[in-house]
This record gives sequence, structure tokens and C-alpha cells, in this order.
Amino acid sequence: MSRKNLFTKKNLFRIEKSRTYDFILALATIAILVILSLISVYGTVESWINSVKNPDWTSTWLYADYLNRMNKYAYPFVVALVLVLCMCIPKRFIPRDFLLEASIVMLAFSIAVSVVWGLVIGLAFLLIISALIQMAVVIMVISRSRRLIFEREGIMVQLGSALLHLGFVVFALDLLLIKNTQSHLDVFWLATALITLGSVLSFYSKEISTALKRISGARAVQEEETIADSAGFARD
Amino acid sequence: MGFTEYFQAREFVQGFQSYFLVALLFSSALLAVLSILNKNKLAGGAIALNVIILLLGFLLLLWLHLKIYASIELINPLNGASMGRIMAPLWIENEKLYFWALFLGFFTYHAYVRNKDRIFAKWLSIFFSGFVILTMLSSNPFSAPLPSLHQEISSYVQSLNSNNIYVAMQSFQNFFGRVIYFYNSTYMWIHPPLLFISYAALIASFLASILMLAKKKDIYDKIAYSYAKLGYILLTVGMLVSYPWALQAWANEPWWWSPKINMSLMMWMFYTAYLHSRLHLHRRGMWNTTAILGIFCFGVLVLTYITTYLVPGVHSYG
Repeated sequence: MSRKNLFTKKNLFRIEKSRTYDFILALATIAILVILSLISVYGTVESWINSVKNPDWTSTWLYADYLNRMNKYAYPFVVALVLVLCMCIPKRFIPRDFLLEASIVMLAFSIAVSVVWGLVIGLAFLLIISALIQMAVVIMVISRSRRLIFEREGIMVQLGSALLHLGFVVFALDLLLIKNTQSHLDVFWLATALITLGSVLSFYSKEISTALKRISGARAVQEEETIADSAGFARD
Repeated sequence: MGFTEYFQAREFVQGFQSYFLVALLFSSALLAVLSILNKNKLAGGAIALNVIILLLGFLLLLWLHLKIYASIELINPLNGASMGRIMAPLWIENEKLYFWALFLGFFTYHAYVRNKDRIFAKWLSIFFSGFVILTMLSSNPFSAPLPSLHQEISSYVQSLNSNNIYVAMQSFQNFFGRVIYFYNSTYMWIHPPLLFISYAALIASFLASILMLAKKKDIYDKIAYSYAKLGYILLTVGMLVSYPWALQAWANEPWWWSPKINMSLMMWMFYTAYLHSRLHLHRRGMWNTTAILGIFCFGVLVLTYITTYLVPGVHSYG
């Protein structure tokens, strides 16, 4: 596409549309996190009041009631957070024009699964689809595919972002589906490793790239010196 | 067993309490004055002096911890079998704030040496000096080193000398449980230090966020983000690694939705919100939103720390 074509009205509209989509997702994430934080504050205050009234309240029925209510309050927002996370994932993969449509299709399928098999399976379906897409993104980043859509350039930052999102999806899946199985902690450690590696790569991509370039540069110099040395040896 | 050796080592450390108190109060006050007067070169020296004194103190505490390990062996009173030694971490009880202050010192020195912005370095130096003064006045780790552990060791020694096997056995079992699940647990060696280093970085991010809001300059956003991302990684990993430990050690305890857990989750969620908000920094209204979130996050961090001492729960002393 020539530079002239790049700035056509239609293209500018597409770029603006996708940026607005990103912005709305970011705002939705912030709003959900703030609401969940308020629920946490409410829980802390209720716990405090209960322990002032009765220091041993956690061994009474009040604690079970408190847990149930807190779970009930948080559940819709945790579900919303998972949905937003899953809506963030296709944007690397699917052309910007079809982002909203693709997200709606994914959601519609998940809702259909939820209606038939229940909310947990519906959410798990959405998370599994997201995990698969995200794994494909990781592979495509490693193989340097040009079809991926990232705001920022550079393999490190793209790989970091992909691994970070994959880590959160695996973490959510672990808590949702595998919590009461023997593999729970193994999958948890996998998610922790992905989140940590992803964070380090995406936050420190520049520093890592510079360090790697320096190492590979030093190696190249060393190799050249070795070749030169052996050439010298051969001459001797 | 070398209980006497331990008691002597503890007394030796206590002998330094006034020296460290005076030295740190003086060097911190000096740093604050030099920073306020904009004597940049001298302030750099004062930061280094503070960090060196804090490091010397940390080495002294390390020596005490090594003495505890070397001199106290846990013996089963029933059969005389050795059950191991105490590896007390260096960031528990009244050493917490000291460890936090030490890392805040490293970050302040880093800001002074690496950052081009003198205003940020100045305010971080003033905050650091205030933090050191608060630490030494409220929780001087040399005045009564590790009071709870000391109490536990003393009770254990007393019970061993009581010639009553039941008393000795009960005391041993209580103490042994604490050693295994608290002092010697891998979790205690990873979770708290990661969080305290994270908190130190997040103080720097908080101050830069205030400057970001007041001065509206890109440099303060960059500084705030550079410390926030380090703090966020350490916070996330620190919180995640504690989960398997909680499942095991608090299997029969009411820890889910407990106050400290709630507040920690809230702190993590606010920092996540801050990082998301920063992605769209140059949209209308987002500059102020990001800066306010950066400031608010620190308020939540302080509340989370205080919750441990204020609100009763499985993760609290309240």
C-alpha cells in the first residue's frame, strides 16, 4: 500500500475504530477492577465489624454466610473481567475491521454453551478458545509472522504481551476448572511462570534486546577473533 | 546446645541500638535539610551515607540470624532426636520496615545517580529520610531483636529446663510447628522480601505520579512507570508464590476473603488499573486519571500494610 493510500479516509476511520475498541476495553477493565476493589473494601469492613462484635466469628455460621455473599457479589465482575480479557485476545489475530464482530461471535458461542451446559462450562469454553488463539499468537510471534497486529514493534515486547495474556487465561482456567484436581498446582505454576516471563519481557523488552544484541555482538567479535587466531595458527 | 551463645549474641546486637539510632537519625535529618536547600552534590553523599549505615546494620542483623541458626538446635524432648535448626528470615517482626527502608535507600540512590530530573530525586530523598526516621523511632530492630522469636526460644528453653516431659513436649511441638510453617518455610524467604522491594519501588512511582499531576511533564510519567513496572512484577510474583503456601499452611483456617487478602487483591487490582490507564495516556482526561490512580494506588498500599496490624484475621496481628 502506498503512503498516499495509507491515509485514505477509510483507513483512518479503521485505525480510529480499532483504537477506540482498545480504549473501551481498557476503560472497561479499569472500571471492573475498581468495582472489585470496592467489594474487597466492603469485605474488609464487614470482617472488621464482625470481629469487633465477636472475635471468634469465623467459627460461626456468620463466616459461611459472609463467604457466600462475597462470592455472589464478586462473581459477575470476575466473569466480566474474564470476558474483557478474552475480548482483548483476538485483536492480535483478527483484522481490525472484524474485531467487534469476532468478539461478538465468540461471546455468542459461549453464551450458547452456557445455556446448554451452565455458566462454568460456558466460561471455560471461552477461556479455552482464548488460550488456543493466544498459543497461536505466541507461535506466530516466535516465527515472526507479519500477520499479527501489535501496537508496539519488537519481538520481545510482542512475545511478552502474548505470554502475559496466555498466563492470565491459564490462571483463570486453572481456578475455574482444575481447582479441585491434583494438577491444580502444576497448572498454577505454569500460569505463574508465563505471567512472570511475560511481564519481564514486555516491561523490559528494550533492555533485554540491547543485552542480547550486546551478547551476540560480543560473540560475533569473539568468533571473528577465533577465526583470525586459527588463521594465524595455520600461517605459523 | 548453645542457648547461652544466642543470648550473648542478642545482647551484643542490642548494645548497638543507640549507635544506629543516633547515626541514622542524624544522617536522615542531614539528607532532608540538604535536599530542601537543593545542595545536590552533598545530598548525594548523604544518601550514600544513609545506605551505608543501613547496610552495616543489616549485616549485623544477618550475623544475629546466623548465630540463631548455629547455636539453637531443636531437640525432641521425648527421644533426644535432632529436629533441625531455625533459619529466621531477615524481614520479619521489627526488621520489616528496616528492610523496606534499605531498599528505598537503594532506589533513592539510583534516582539520584541515574535520573536527570533533580526535582524527583529531591522529593524522593526527603521521603526516604522521613521513612528512615519513622522506622528507627517506631521499629528499631536493634532495641529488642526479633521479640516474638526470642519469646518462643525463651519459653522453649524454660520448658526444657522444667524437668517436666509433658510441658517440654507441648512447648516443643508448638515451637516446631512455627519453625516449619513460618521461620523455615520457603514462602517466608520469597514472599515478604519481594513485596517489600516492590513497596519501595512503588513509593518512587507514587512520588513521580504526584509530580506528573502537578507539573504535567512526560518525564514524570516515564519515571513513575519505570518504578511501577518493577514494583508490579515483584508484587504479582510475590502474591502468586504465596498461594500454594496458603493452601497448605492455612488448610483449616478462614483465609478466603480475609481482610489482608482482600486488601492485597485490591492493591494489585489498582496497580493493574493504573498500568491499563497508562496505555492511553494521551487521550483526553487520561493523563490526570493515570496520575490520580498512581497516587491512589499508594494510598491502598499503605492501607494494606496497616490492615495487618489493625484488622484481625488469619494474616494479621490485629
